[in-house]
Order: sequence, then structure tokens, then C-alpha cells
Amino acid sequence: MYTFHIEQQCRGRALRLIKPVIIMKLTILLIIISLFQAAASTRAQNVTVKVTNAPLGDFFELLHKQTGYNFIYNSETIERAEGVTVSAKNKPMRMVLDECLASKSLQYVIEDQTVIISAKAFAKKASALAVTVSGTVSDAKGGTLPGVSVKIKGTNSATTTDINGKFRINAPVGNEVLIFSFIGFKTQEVALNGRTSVNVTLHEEVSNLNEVVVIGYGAVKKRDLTGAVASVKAADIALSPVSNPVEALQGRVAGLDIQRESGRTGTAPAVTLRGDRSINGGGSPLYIIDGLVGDINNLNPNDIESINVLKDASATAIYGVQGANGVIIITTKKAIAGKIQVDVNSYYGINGFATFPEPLTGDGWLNYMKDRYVAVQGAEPQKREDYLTAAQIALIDQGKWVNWVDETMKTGVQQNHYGSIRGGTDKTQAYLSLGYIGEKGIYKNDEAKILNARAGVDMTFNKYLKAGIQTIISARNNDQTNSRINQAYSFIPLGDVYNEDGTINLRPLGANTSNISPIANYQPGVWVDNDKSLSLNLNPYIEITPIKNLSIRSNFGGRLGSTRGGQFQNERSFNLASEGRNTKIATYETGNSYGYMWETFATYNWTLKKDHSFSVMGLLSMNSSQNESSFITGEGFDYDDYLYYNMGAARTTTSKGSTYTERSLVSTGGRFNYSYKGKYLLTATLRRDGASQLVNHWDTFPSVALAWRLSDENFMKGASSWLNNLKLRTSYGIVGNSDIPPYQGQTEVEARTTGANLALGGTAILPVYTLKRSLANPALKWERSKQTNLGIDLSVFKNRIDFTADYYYTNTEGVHYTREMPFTSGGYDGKTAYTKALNIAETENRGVELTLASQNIVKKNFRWNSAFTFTAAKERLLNIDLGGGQAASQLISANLFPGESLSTIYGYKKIGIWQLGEETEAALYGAKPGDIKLATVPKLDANGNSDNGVHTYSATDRMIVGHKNPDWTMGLQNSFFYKGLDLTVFVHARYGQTLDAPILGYWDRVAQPSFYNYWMPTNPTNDYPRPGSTFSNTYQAALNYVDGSYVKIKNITLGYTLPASIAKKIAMSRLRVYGTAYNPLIFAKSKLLKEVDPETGGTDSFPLFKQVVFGVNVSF
Amino acid sequence: MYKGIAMGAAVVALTMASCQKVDEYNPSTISVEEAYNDKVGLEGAINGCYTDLYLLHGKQDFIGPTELGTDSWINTGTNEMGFSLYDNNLNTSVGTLRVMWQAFYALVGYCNTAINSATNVKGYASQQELNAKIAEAYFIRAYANFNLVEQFGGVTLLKTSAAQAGINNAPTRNSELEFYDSIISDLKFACENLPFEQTLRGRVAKKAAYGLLAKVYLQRTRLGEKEQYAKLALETAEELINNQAKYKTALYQSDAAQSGFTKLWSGNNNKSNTEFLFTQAIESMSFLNPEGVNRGRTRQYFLPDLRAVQATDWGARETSVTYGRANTRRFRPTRYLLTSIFEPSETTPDTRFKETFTYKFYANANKTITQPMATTYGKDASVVGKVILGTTAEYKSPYLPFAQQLEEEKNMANDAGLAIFTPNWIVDPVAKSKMPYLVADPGDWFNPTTGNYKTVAEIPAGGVNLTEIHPALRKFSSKEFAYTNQYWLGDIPIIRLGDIYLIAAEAALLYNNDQTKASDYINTIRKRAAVKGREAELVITPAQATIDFIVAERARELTGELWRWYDLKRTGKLTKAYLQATNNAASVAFDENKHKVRPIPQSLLDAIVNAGEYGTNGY
Repeated sequence: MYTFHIEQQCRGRALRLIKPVIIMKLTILLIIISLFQAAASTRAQNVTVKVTNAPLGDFFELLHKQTGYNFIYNSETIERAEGVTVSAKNKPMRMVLDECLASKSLQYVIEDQTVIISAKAFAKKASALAVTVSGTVSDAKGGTLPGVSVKIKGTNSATTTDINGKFRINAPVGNEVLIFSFIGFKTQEVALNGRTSVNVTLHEEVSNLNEVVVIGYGAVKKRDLTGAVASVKAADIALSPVSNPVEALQGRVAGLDIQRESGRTGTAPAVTLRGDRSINGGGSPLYIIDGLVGDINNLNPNDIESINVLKDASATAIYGVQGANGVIIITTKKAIAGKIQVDVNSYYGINGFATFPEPLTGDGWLNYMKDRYVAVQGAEPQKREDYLTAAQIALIDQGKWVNWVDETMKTGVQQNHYGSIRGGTDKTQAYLSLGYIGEKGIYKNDEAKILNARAGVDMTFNKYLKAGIQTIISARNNDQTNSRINQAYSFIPLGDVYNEDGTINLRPLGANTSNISPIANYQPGVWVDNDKSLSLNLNPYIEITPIKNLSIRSNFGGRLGSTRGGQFQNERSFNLASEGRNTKIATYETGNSYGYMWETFATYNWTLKKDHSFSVMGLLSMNSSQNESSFITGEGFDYDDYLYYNMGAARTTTSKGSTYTERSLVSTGGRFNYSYKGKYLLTATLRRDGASQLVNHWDTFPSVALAWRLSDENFMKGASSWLNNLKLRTSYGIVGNSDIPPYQGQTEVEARTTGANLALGGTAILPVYTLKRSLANPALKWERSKQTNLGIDLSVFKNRIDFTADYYYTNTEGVHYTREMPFTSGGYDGKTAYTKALNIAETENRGVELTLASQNIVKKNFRWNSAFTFTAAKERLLNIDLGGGQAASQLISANLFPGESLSTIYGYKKIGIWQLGEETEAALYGAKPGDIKLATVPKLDANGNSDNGVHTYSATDRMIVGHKNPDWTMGLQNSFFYKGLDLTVFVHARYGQTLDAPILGYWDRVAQPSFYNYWMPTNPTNDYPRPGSTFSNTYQAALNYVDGSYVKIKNITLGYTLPASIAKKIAMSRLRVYGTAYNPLIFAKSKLLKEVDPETGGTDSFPLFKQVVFGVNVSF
Repeated sequence: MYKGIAMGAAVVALTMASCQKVDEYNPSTISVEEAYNDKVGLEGAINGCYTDLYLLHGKQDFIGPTELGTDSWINTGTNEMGFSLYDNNLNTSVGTLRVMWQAFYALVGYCNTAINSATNVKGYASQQELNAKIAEAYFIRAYANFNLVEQFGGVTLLKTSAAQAGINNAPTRNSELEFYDSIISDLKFACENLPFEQTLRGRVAKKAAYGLLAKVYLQRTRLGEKEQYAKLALETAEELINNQAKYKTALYQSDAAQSGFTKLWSGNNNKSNTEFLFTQAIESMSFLNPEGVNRGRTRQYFLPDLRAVQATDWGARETSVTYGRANTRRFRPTRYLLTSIFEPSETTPDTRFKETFTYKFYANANKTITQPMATTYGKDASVVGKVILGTTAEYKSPYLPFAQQLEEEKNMANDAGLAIFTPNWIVDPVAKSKMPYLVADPGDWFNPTTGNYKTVAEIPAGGVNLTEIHPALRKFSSKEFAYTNQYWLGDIPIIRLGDIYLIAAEAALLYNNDQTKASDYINTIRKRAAVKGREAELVITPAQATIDFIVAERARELTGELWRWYDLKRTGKLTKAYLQATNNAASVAFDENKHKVRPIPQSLLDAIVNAGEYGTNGY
């Protein structure tokens, strides 16, 4: 086997932008760079060596460290050679090499900065009988591979494949062995046996131990990792037809719980890593894009090379206060030297088949109306007029039934078109990508268009200096609409939806009725709600290597964001027509955010006595951001044409304002790594952060981690036939969370003049000054999570099976919570409580995470891979602290209950429906047959005697019904490859969570969902109470709670890759076409969720839809 | 050289890092001291004290707690059912309880902030000038505390501001007497320091303070020391009654065409009403009101079901700009209110039924009476073929920015456009059958035994159910300021002079049983309820002037004005027996030991640490 010793530079830090403002800075940079280059050329590759009988490998390693040159050699070749004894002081490397290798029948070639060592014997033959061998190298998917290194075994004769994956090499005898190697692929040896044409298929590297994992402020080989880090590759991310890359991670990382809670276009999913431990900060992790804090929404999923999820404190503590909820590190696709790669990825499909229960119509509705009438009036209706209006009767007689839920929905469109070009030389690499995502939802006017552009240049000026810039531009155009589903269940299922001319009928139940069509806003031009946003990131960097093993890198991230919101509605819109307001209302709002992040970190590596490797890193970071916004709302416009672009034409300005907020964070930190023979690994980090929004600005966050590679121990040698890797890891650390809004330290006065809109009968607005909503908490400090992690990594059977297990325990103190204060001390206004940011609680989280990747079948034409993740987690609130030493046994208003999850559902618990024959018992609870039956909480009387829960229901009977977080989640992906065909099926399960599902709460509405099986004397069900029961009405919330466990087939993708030979004929290196069914099948545990997608939590507004898309991946 | 550059860079970076400030810059707010030590800021704080009043009057939330569960109204459907029936629906979770609780406590908090800050304020020429200003906050604090103690009993008497004292997680209760001491002391300050007149009619002046103090003194009599507080109430009321010019108030007087009561509620007098002592002022032109035009929606909650077949058959329409939109109906008048409080007579000299209620609903467009209609509604054949004329016409008002299509603008003469007639007197059946419009009267509505609205089962077979076709409260509605079929932009009186006369009468009885004085004040109010020439028919004798009479008289005068529950509580009428006699349905679940105070809102109990100790008020 060949071993590649390659000094791995941190590729990937990006830099971008060409704009006039920074051209001056670039000029200065270039001047500095040219100075460096001048200096570099005068410097010789001198070495100082003094070794006695040193193994050749160690000797080369030593030279590599001193010169930075890479050494490539066949291990067997040099193992046969004797040790080296040499003493040289500041001598040119070539001299030293000549001296040492002369006696060892070895020779070397220096190409660029690589020294290739080979055996002399073969080289000598080389000149004699040369034949030219040619061929093509492709990957398993049939795409050709450019840039593959092709070498003749045992010689220094080598070449690389061209852009079409072709190579041509002179073989001295025609009997040689060719070695094909390429990063990320298994090196393959092919004996020529006289052939002059060889086509080779390289397979991706199975063992990922040498894979480089990007961590905070650096990168390590996977084998040297001490923390809990999970990786997801580009191919898996691109598999899902989603606009947000995070959604594609669902079920692929153990411990990362992702839910898309709304089907609204362009919505970001909810992301929680290792459970909620913070209440206000939520569980949203920190996103680091190419080294800088960024917004993952600004990336097209196709731009992503890999995503690493840092889970434990060992990995995240270097991010200090920002690391509490985990860190997701995104590496974007970069250019590779010597290779120009053009990729086009495109898909188009439909969004539809939203699962929403059908409302009652026709006879079902008439029966329901009758049943309801009987319950309310206590008598059978004598005639239709008793329970129907004149207008309704007329429509029924004409058979004009309407399913309003259907009328509000349509089939949407999902598309993503992406193109990129990447390439460069050894010194300079550049890339450019453009992506367009178009999403049309299931409601009219729900539409998102997202344009992403990314461009960057990386330049290696010389051995000492590297610099680059990356620009990320993202533009969004979002049309929004309100869901009218709630209206649809509350609207009589009758009417003329459309006028004769095809336009929408504003009053479907008749011209004299006040009921406005639920789809009134679908009329052209009556309703516009449009957001536009532009985000620009300019990230230049410079990296200096002033002395060997020391690198200093400075990343600057400038960001600029601008948003514009506009809303318009006229007198025919749903709201205004319902209110009978003959006016037009428009709002125009703008937002500007700007800020920068500047991070500089230095890394120094050294080795002591060969076996002791050390690395230290120190960092400085500054982060500052400002937000400004303004808004104006006016009404009484004369023309629709203005939309929100002519606010000056408003007759009345109903609100206006502008705001400013800022926050800053200053940090210093460091990391120390120690490795003994790669077997015993230690990582320690320390970070000190100061955040502006905390009264006590500063705090320090340490961590330490240990790992032991058991498989490298001598006593494990016996198992080496099947055991490839076994590592135990443990870590402990403290991370913080300052994710609270700014200005929590001050009680201040704000002007509410516009909001109050008070004139007391005069014609001029009066100034109003009241306290701002958030009251000061001078004791506010950092939230601190103490995290412990135990992990094991295992690879067996030639790395065919990879297994990782982690157990974590996190204890969080001083959990931030912005609490709404009781009104007995006053309120911000009658509708809004004062708030106070408090360190209110202590929480604990624990969980087990399992990840299993296996190559079940690996045959020439058929492969089957599986990837499985499993997470079981528990979160618990330990205690509540209201400040000043005041504890609470529970705080219902804040939904805080010690011993319970942070997302506890507290309310009335339905246990059924009171049935006929239970009249006497029901009466004890204030109920009668047909009413909802609740679990009750026993009450004690003055003497301490319990009533065993037998009493009239009241608010004291609320209890903990469940929790929204799951007990466990699971993801399972199976991929099959047969020749050019690939099939991937991804299954996701979430178990043990309770939903508070609004869609189940439409009981007793005008047209409740038809699947609601409601109680009647003739239908003794336990599902839904009798309609019209005012008693049940009070406790209706209990109907929403349901076991939300589900298993979903989230993704089925079938693709076909054209054989490389055919693709080539149409000038492509790779062509794949595929079809994906996204979200196609759902199996819910509760029968009530049959017609509901539980992933959205049973929303009644924007349901998740199913998608069918067809796409193409092309590479040139 | 590189070492040098690297070191240099490190030094620069370090220096910048250490210079980086982590303090906060916040230009969008100002400090408490800067704001409230300044005249503009302090007056801004005082203006703030008015804001949450707009959450209560002109909104549905304050109707249930003040008008329901009395002798006057009963719920339609399930909204505010708990307040209406005292059943299980009156519990700690009722939404309107929360609104009321929060609004009053927010007001007290605002007032405390203003009052406690007003010690060192720049910009006032004298302490008197400052006192005149700060007295507004004293008044509103008293008003809020008065409502809190009447609704909830002895709850927390808040005297601090969150700006200075922060928040108490474990609030304690104060006694009702402590509340009254605080209220009375605040109002004395307000009476003394408020100006006689304010430029803005929504700002409180002396007359509001005297008016409220009279009400408070009288209400205080329910806690004992009856004569003492009755005397104070009488004196305070008489201060206003006897010095009306000084306090810029006056009763409207009757003339031959209109009674004083008619003028009181006339839209034309709404924005400069001489009887309003404490006014929620609404701006109808520039919409400078909290929530803009979203005001004055209470009228729709009292409407009959104009969507029902019974109404639409006769040409009535659900949405009317004049009287509102009948899609959110909540309340119906009781038989007692319609036929005992108000005299059920077409010819009564008392104009108050006709001015308090809409009892004629007009057709939107022409409607011909057909034979099937006559059959269904028991009409005489003579009405078949008659056309009920549409009354809609464009209405332009100087008060409104837009022209409106209003019913009742034409074909009003001789009721040519009348579609539905709902008198509070029983119409002779023969006459009724010959009237070319739908007639629904108390005989159609009420069970003669219980007095409750008839249930469906009680409607005779073949008869038409007219229990949802009833008169509607219209005090807070007029065609002037009718902005849309939902919004009405008229001013709303919170305390008015008519009330003060009846307070004086009641106080006179309680103080020294001076029936002569009491009857004088009552007669002043009764006389102006008749047109000139018929006043004498309404005059009562001193012997008739009893507390019971005043209780009824107050309903005649003040029904719908959000004081009724307090009146019954004060006069000892909040009893099962009284409710049985006046509003049978409300009496069934009524428990005298429990229902004289409201449940503590669950939102508070859920937010404090001592919920068990604080208690629910027995719910």
C-alpha cells in the first residue's frame, strides 16, 4: 500500500468579492504579497538533520516537516531499505537526499513540492522498451474522473488524467503495474499484462479515518478526533428537493432533531441538537460557513460540499457562548487544482397532495346541523328553516355544495436550477456558482424565489502566504398569503365560488350576506404581501506561514442585509370586505442590517521525540452587528395601482416608526492538542467571551477531551484482521448561551405615541411615554451548559461497517428565559405583560445516539449501502429560580414544571366521552352523556381528605398531558446501485411526542372535518363530543392533544446514470437523470392523524405537502 | 520579516479586541429619569394612563362583567355565558376576565409610574400646575381600583411602579376597605387639583372626579358606615348638581318635539355632550384612536338575528351601517327589562324605551309580501301584494370621510320601509295580522311562567320561532359616526350627569331617608324623559321614592351603560330571590356566597408562585 504524506492545508477558507470599495485594500494586499514572493524566491530548501540508523519513513517525515515538501513512496520499498545515518547542517535538501539514497538502490524525483521516491531497478529498465498505455478513469457512477494520479509502480513515472478522465503514460516493459490514486477514492493497482489500453473504475474510499473533518478553527483527521462530530456528504444533502439545506439533514445525524413545521414556502425548519436545554435561546445551533458565522439559508443545497455537526463540548466549547446548542459547520464546494469542473443540477416538480381533512358537505353536513340543533335546542327541528337560513336553503336546493378546503388549495411547483464552474492552477483556484430555487406552495400567492450566487478565489502566493476572498449573495422574493383553512372549516359548505365570468364571487352565499369568500384574496390585485431581501457576505482571508509549523490566519466577514416588506389590501380583500371597510391599506417596511466578524487565529504544531505531537491554537474574535428598520402604514388610497409604492398618497397614516438595535461580542480563546503515537489523544480548549446584551458581560468556557485508539494497541493486533478501528472518547466542557435580545439590562422609557394613536378627541396625536416592555435584570448573567460526552467509534470488516455511539449528559444552569410578569405589578399594556430576562432554571439533557453505516453488498454491478441513525433523548427541568432566592414549584404561565420536559404540554386530558348510562357519574363532574370526559386532579379539603378527583371540572384539573419532544427518532437510508441505476429510500421516524394539533380542534365549527366521529345517542364513540355542547366547549383544548408518533417514508429517489462512454459522446463527463418522491408516505400511530401530517404538529394553516420532482445532474 | 509581520498583526488584533466595546448603545429609548423629570415625558406618561381604557368601553370585554348576570340581559349563544348564567362557564379561564384584570392593573401601573415620578419635574411654573396634570393619573388610578375592588373584591392594591419597585412574584391581597381608602384619597386629590375644563373632551376635568367620587362614596356604603358615606355621596353629587355651570355640565331639557333623553343620545350631540362627565372620546375624522377605526363595535352584540329566514323573508338584511352587523350576536334583553323596567305601552310618555332600543328594522330593498309569507306568519290576506320599500340611500355626513349607503335614509315616512317591528308591548293579534311587516312582541318571546325566552319545544307546532327577533340596544349607535356596518365612531360616556341625580336620590334615602329630596332628583330625571307637556305623567310622589324604585329607575335611565352589576351589588339585589323574580335563567346556578366576586384570572394564578395562597375567589 502507498501512504500519502501530504501536508494538509486548510483549504476552504474562502474569500470573495470584487467591488470598488475594497479594490484599494486589495491593492495593498497585492503589494504585500509581491514582497513575500520576492523574498521566497531567494530562499533555498536547506535542511538540518542529524540521525543515526533512522527508519526511512521517519527520515522523510523529518524532511517534510522542515521543508514542507511532500514525500510519496511505496511503504514496502522503503521498509526493505536499511536505516539512514546522516549529519547535515543547513545543507540543501537535494544534497542530503543524494547522500542518503545513493546506497539504498532508491531514487527520487522532485516535482513541484513533492518528492517521489522509487526503487532504482525498475527505473533503469524504463528507457528500454517503452510502450504507450492509455485509457479512461471513471467513478462508480460512470462519470469520468479528471486529475487522477496514474503512476507506474516502483518508478517515478507518473501522470494525471485530463479533463475527460483520459490518461496516457509510457510503460517501459508493458508488464508493469499502474497505480491509480485520487483523494477520496480507493487507490487501485492494475497489472498491464501487455495491454496498451486500460479503463479503470475507482471506488470511493470506504475507510474514512483519514478523511479530514473540519472543526472549529481548524481541521483534523477523523482518526484524531476527540469530540462527537457527525458528517453528512454533499450527495445526501442534494438528495432532497428542498429549498433549505438543513431540511435535508433530517434523520441523517443522530441527536439532530429537524422538523419542518410549516408548508409555507421558504420556511426554515426547526432544528434542535441534543434537545432543548435553553428556553429562550431555543435549540438552534450555530452555523459556521467556511469558517465564519453565517446563514445557511443563503446557500443553495448544491453549494454544499459537506456538513459537520459538532455535538459535544469538546468540539463546541471553542465557540464559547455561541456553542451551547451545537455547531453546524458547512464547507462549500471549492475548486481543485488542475481540474475544471462544470456542474449543472436541475430539477422541476410539483408540490401538492397536501393532507388536510375534508370538511363536511352534503348530507353529512345537513345531518351534523340537525344533530347540533338537537343538542342546543333540546328538540328535533320541525323543518329546515329551523336550522338553515333562507340563503342556505336556496343553495342546497340548487345542489351548490362546496368543499372550501379544496377551493383554497392548488398544486404548487418546486424547482431548483444550479450551475457551477470550478477550476484553477496550483497557485490559483476560483469558482463561481449560481442557483435559482423557485417554490410555489399549495395556496395562491404563496411563492418563494431564491437566487444564490457564490464566487471565490484562493491564491497561494508562495510557501508563506495564501489569501483569498469569497462572496455569497442571496436574493429572495417571497409572496405570502394567509392560510384560509380555518375560514374554510368555519364557512358554510355552500355557495357560488365563482361568478359566471369566472372571477371569484366575493359573497358566495348571496349578495345580501356578509360572509366573504375564504378565497377573496385570490382575486387579482386585491391582496399583495411581498418580501424582498438581499444578503451580501464578503469574506476575505489571509493566511501566513512565517515559520515552519506556524500558521496565522485572519478571516474577515463583512455582512450586509437589506429587506423590504410590502403589504397591500383593498376593499375587496377578505378582511376589509368582511368589515365592510371601503378603503385600501398599505404598509411599507425596510430593514438594514450590517456588521462584521473578524477572527484571527494562529496554529503551531510540533513533535517531540517522534511520538509526542502537539498543537496549539490561539484566537481573537470580534463580532458586531447593527439593525435598523423603518415602517409606515397608511390607508385611504385612491388607486389600487400604487400598491405600497406610493405611501404619500395615503389619506391617513395609521402607524409609522423606525428602530435601531446593536449587539457585539468580543472573544479570546485557545486550544491545545496532544497525541501520543496517535493512540492517546488529548484536546483542551478555553474561550473567554464578552457579550454586550448581558449586564455581566464576561465569562470563560473551558473544555477537555480524551480519546484512546484501542485498535492501535499491540494487544489488539490479533483482531486486526477484522477490526479496523476502535476508539473510545470522553469529553467534558462548559458552553454558554447569550441568545437573548439586546437591552435587557436597562429599564427604560419608550415613546408609544404612534402605537397608542391617542388624541382624546382632538385632531393631533398625543405623546405617550411608558416603560418599555422588558424590565431590567441587573443580575443577568450567562447561561452555562456543562456537557459530558462518552463515545465509541468502531469500524470492522475492512471498514465495511462503521459504528458510532455516544452518550451525553448536559446540565445547564442559569437558563435564560424572558418571563412574562404577573399583572398585579402592572403591565406593558392591557394585552401585553412586562417581561424580564431571567436566569430562571436549571435543566438536564441526556441521550444516546447511534450511527451505523454499512456496505451490505459490494459487487461489481450491484451495491447496497445502508445508513442508520437512532437517537433516544430525555430533557428535564430541574428547578425554577425567580431570582432573589425565590423558587417556584411550577410556573404554569411559563410552561415550566420541574421534572418535566421544557416542551411540556399542560392542559386538560381527555379520556373519552361520557356515555348513556353514565348520567349519574357524569353529573358529579358537571357533565352529561355526550360531553367530553376528562382526567381530574384530586382535591384535598380542609381536613386533608381527598375527593379522589370527583368534582366539577375546573382549571385545577389541568395536568401534564405529554411533551412535544420525541422519546426517540430514527433515520434509515438504503441505497441500491445496479449498473447505472440508483435507488435510495429514506425512512424517518419520530416516536413518543405529543402534539397540540390545531387541526383536531375544529370540533363544533360550521363545517368540521368529516372524519370527526362525534358522539350522538346512537353513536357511542369516545372520539369527539356531541356537537353544540357548551360544556365540552370549555374543555375543547383537550381534543387537540394526540400521540404524534409517526414513521414516514421521506424520500424515494430513482436515478439513472448514462454510461460514461455514451455521456462522452454528448460531451459530458457525467449525466444522471432522476425522479424523487418527497414525503410520499406517512404512518401515524394515532387514528386521528390519518388525514394529517404529524410532522407539522397538526397545523391548521400550512400543511406539509408531497412532492414529485424530476431532475438531471450533468458534469462536463 | 514574517515573524515581524505576524507579531505586528497579533498586536494590532489584540489591541483592537481590547478596545472593542461590549457596552450597549440604545438610541430608541430614554432613561426613566430623563423622561419623567421632564414635562413632556411626564405628560406622555399621563397620556398613557388613558390608553387601556379603550380596551374596555366600546369593546365586548367589559359588557359581560357589568351588564350580564343582572336583571337586564341574557346571553344569546355561548359567549359570556358564565357571566350571564353563573354556571360552570364562569371560571378562572374566562377570557374577558383576563382582559379586564390586565387592563385595570396596567392602568394602575401606568398611573403609579406617573404619580411616583412626579416629584422633581422640570417645566412646570408651579406645584399647582403640576398637580393639575398629575391629578389625571390619580383619577384614572381610582377608576381602575374601583373596578378591581367591585369585580374581584380584596385583591392586590398596587401602589408601586415596575420602574422603581420591580415585580412581585408573590402578590398579597388587600382588604376592600384599603382599596376604598386609596380610591377616595386619590379622588379627593383629583377633585381638588383637576381643572374645571380641559381642551380635549377625553381628558378628565373636575366634573369627572366629582362624578366618580359620588359613585364611589355611594358604593362604599355596602361595606358599612352607611350614613357617613351616603352623606358624602350626597354632598359630592350635589356639588355637581348645584354648580353645573361651574363644572361645565348640564342636563338636556325636553321641548315639544324631543325629550331631553332623546337629545342626550342624539348623534348630533354626541361629540359635545353636556351630560358626559367622563368620556371615552373617539376621533371620527383622522381616526386618531387606539385601534383606529376599530371602535364602537358593541352595538352588534345586541342585535336580533337579521340573518334568519324570519328576518330575510321580510327584506331585512344582516349588515346595516345604521345598526350594525348581526353576525356576532351575544345578548338579548330580559322580559323584566323590556316589560317591567320599561313601561310596555305604545303610548307611554317615557321616551326611554324608544331611545334605548332599536325596535324597527328596515328593508334594504323593495320586498313584496307574498301569500306564502302571509300563511307562514299568520298575516291577513289584505297585506299580500304590499311592497315594503327599500330604505337604502347614500348618506353623506360632515363627520365621515366617506359617503355611506345607509338604511333608513328614505321611505321612513309612515314606516313605508319597515320590515321588522319589535315593540315591548303586546300588539293586538288582529291588528298584528294586518300590519304589512313582521311583528314580534313579548308574547312571541317569553315563556309566561318563567319569563325566560321560549325554548324551541315551547314554540307551538306550526308557529314561527321569533325568539331571536327582539329589540337591540342602540345607545352606542347613531347614523352619525356610523363608519361601517361594524364600526361606530361616536364618543362613549363612562359617567354622565343623569347618573349623579340618581346617586343623589339614593344617597338621600340612605343618609336620612329624605324621600322628598330623593323624589325631587328622581323626578328631574323622569321629567326630562318625556316631551314637553307630558312631564307630569311621569312624576312620582315622595312616598314612591324607595331604594327599589331607584334600582328600577337606574335601569330605565342607565341600562347598557356598564354599571348594572355594581348597582345590584350595592343595593343588595345580587340575590337568588331577586334574580329569580327578574331573570330566572340567571338565578338557577347563582350562589350568593360565591358569585358576588369574580374568579381570579387563571393567567395570574399561573404566573405567580403563591397561587394556592392567593386563591381563586372560590371558583
